[in-house]
Amino acid sequence: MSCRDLEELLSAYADGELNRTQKEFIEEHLECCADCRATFSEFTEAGRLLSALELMPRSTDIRENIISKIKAIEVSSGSNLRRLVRPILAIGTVLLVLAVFYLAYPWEFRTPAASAATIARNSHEVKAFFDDEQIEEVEVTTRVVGMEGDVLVVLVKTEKRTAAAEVNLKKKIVTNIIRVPDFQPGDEEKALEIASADPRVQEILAKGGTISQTHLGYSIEGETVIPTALLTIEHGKYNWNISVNLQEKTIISMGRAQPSPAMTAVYISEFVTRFIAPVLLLLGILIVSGLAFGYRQAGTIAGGAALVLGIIGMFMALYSLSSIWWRQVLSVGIPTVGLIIGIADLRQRGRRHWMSITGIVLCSLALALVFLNEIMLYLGAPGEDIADVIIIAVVTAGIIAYALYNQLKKRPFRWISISLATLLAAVVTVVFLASYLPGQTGSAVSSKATIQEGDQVVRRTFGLMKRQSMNELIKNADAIVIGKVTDIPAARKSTLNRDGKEIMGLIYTDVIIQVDRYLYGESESEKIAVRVEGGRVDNMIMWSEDTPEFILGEEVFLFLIRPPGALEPVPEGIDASSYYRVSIQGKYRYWHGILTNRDGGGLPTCTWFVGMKIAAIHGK
Amino acid sequence: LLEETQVIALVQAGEVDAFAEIVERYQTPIIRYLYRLTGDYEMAKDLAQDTFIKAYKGILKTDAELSFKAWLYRIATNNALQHHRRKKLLSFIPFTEREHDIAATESQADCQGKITEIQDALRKLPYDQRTCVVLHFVEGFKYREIALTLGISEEAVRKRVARGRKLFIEEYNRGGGGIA
Repeated sequence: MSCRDLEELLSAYADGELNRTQKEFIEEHLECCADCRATFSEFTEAGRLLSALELMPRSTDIRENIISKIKAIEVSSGSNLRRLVRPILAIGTVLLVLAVFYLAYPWEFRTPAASAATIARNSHEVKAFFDDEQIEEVEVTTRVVGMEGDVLVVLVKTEKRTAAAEVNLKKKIVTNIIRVPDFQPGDEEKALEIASADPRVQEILAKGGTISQTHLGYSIEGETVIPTALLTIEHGKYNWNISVNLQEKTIISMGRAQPSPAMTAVYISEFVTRFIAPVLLLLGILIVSGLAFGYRQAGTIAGGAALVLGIIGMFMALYSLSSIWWRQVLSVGIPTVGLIIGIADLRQRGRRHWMSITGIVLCSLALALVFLNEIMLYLGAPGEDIADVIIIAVVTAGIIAYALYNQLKKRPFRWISISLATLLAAVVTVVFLASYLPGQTGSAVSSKATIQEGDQVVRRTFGLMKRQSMNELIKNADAIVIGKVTDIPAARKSTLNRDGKEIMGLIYTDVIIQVDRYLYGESESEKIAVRVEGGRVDNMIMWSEDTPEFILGEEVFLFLIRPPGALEPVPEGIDASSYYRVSIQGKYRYWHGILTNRDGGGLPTCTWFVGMKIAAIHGK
Repeated sequence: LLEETQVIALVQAGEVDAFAEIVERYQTPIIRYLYRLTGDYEMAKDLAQDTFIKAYKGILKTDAELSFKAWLYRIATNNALQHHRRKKLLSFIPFTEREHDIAATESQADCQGKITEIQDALRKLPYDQRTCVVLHFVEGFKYREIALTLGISEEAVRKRVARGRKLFIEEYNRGGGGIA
């Protein structure tokens, strides 16, 4: 080992940084090596010289500069309020997203039904088919035709004719048009009679099968369309599907089937809306508030979350548009959440992580695609639903702008956004909670019968009905009232259906309502009655999915309809002109001016707003 | 006087003013460190400010994986390194007046008149060696502390100090000073 190799050790020795063995070795070496002794003293001298730099000719106090700079950066940092404001902001942001999720759903324009109607209305094929006759109505009653995947069948009606048009929602075109005969009132009952007359059906019913569903539809054979009723009989773990030809009054087919794929789709959509969407939102809340509190882990997760949501958002935007409402809602909601998380992450970490950036880009693209698609779809039908498109675009843009404003340190922006977020969060929370209000009296008396062991189910009906907008509800109503359910007398059997037509085997329930206020309507009786289908007579039950439920003592807001034929018998003490019916969509629960309709899927609203609409539509 | 950990806890709890305590405690050594590294007092002051602001932002998120002091010096080192890189790009810009200012003050104050020469020689050292040399001789860090601060091994520190010191002697002698 040459002395040159020892320089590093010598240096460390001069600094007192050697262990004992090394130290002893160097000390021994120094004793016998003059060169190294010289180097060592040079090293010591160098250290001494450098140590002189420890002295500073002047000192400066930069405390105030730093503290004021920090305070300038974090506007209200340090105060206790700040520690609350951030999480509140974060949760407010997520609540806003929640609002979009929630509000977007009942808006008709987002439903496949409305999309299909618009496509059909504007289709050249449909216009050509009707020789440019005025299209009076496009009815999307899935109850009549049924929905399969992305193809929805709509009924297009002119004054004289009706046609069924198959609308491919993905391609946004009409793929097939068929002239159809109209259904007659009472067709469902007729189908029941035809089926019941068949010995095979009688056998299944005798073994304990129950007719669970009746659907009116069309069987298409080549170019002819046959009005058909589809009956489902539940028996054991299988269902029997029976198609009845209503023209020839014969059974076309009868077969055993396991639950249909359509039902699986319903289950999946239920799963997504009830489980996945809330979990996603919860995750969003956790991540954003984690970021707000400054947890590192949240930062790491957030970048990834933004990216994943962006990818899902893109996927949904590209492949799943315009078919089922929850997909549409998620295709707006997911990228919005991703965008907010991405922006929050960028801000918190203060550096540009590729995951956040990519996430933000993907989310923005997905949102742009969704809106572009919606706008393209509705450009063809100006005035119809375009207002809603604009509203949802504005709300989403507002949320994003809010998230961006948050990045700005300027006070007015911050405070405006904080106030808006708090206000919106409060309103959304109240409205959201309002739709889950429990029964107000705790009374167990309900107009709807629950099926129990040993009951004989006369009929159970399910089905989808056309959604009515608030405007339609108001337009179609004969009276609009606020009142309280004061009595629900025992259900009765009837030979008249709700339109006053003669049929067999109906059970109905009357609901007596003490009217507090008429918002519209000629009749001014204080007491009215509403007839709803279904109920229990002894152990016979009729149950229908789409009838409203009234609870004794409940305060209600009703869009009442007077049936074309007189309903009989009129309940005691009620004027015949005050005997109405009401659809599930027309029955709102009233709570201190807030109106909610959870069962009917209506958007929560308030008396003031509806009152304005009533005034606009019916006049004072 | 509060313990450092208590002060940090206060800052983390949102007491910005508690951070003044930290600045007071460390401003002189940090400015000195940065000045000796860069040779520019005003720049050192700016870099120190930036260092403390970064430290404030970081303090809210940092776990105690490093001692606070080591962590602060690490931020300062990185700041100076960034400045060093920028300066390399702008090296054609001549020294500013203020630099001569303080250098002049120093030579007056220092009766041996050596401080300026020492600083000049130090400035010739490669950046990584200079960092270790200043931390060790000026700031009084042990090798182990330097290793922790810079995130390198102790062997690397030993090597850099040795090389830096040798180079310093050469440069100092060349500049007219004399180390016997």
